[in-house]
Amino acid sequence: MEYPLLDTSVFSTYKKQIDENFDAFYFSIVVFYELMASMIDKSTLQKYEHWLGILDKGGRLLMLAKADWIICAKAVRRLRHQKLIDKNLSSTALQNDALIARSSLTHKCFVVTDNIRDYALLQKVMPKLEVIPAAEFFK
Amino acid sequence: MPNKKEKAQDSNGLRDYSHLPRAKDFKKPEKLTELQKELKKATREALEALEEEEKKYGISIT
Repeated sequence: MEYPLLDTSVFSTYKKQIDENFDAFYFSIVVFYELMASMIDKSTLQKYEHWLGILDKGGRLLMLAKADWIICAKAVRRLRHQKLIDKNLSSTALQNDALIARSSLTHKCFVVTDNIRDYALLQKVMPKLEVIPAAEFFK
Repeated sequence: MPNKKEKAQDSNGLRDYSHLPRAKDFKKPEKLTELQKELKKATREALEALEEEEKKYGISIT
């Protein structure tokens, strides 16, 4: 695993560090979905669209294919089947984390996150997934 | 040879991340290409905008 892929959970706390290391990261389109869906001002949204375009041009934006969605659905199903998550948990509860995890697996990345608990769960059904807490990565 | 479970934890039973690089391991480019300049500017502007929204609206990105 060679490249850090930032999870959405790191953006609020680690802005300065992301800014300083702007050229080090890969991003999943799912993270941009989560960021852009949270924005209120149109001007902010436009800045994220602009950033997205540059990342895409530089090959730093990771997209997902049909097979990735299917693999993620099967992975979350396995968690449910193995009773590692509640059987009544929403089918979308781990969806985005699973998709971000899948992006990292298919591009030699590791996930940098503040949400280690959910990714640790996903590691049980995605054994090659590598995850590091943001506090450790930016230390 | 340690098995996978042992390899994932250090001697204190905590998860071991020592095999993964840290932010400081990524060298900053000495001379930026045009695309890197654009990326640097766009990254900063986006992060500043996020900070403003957090202050203005109390939004939380998690």
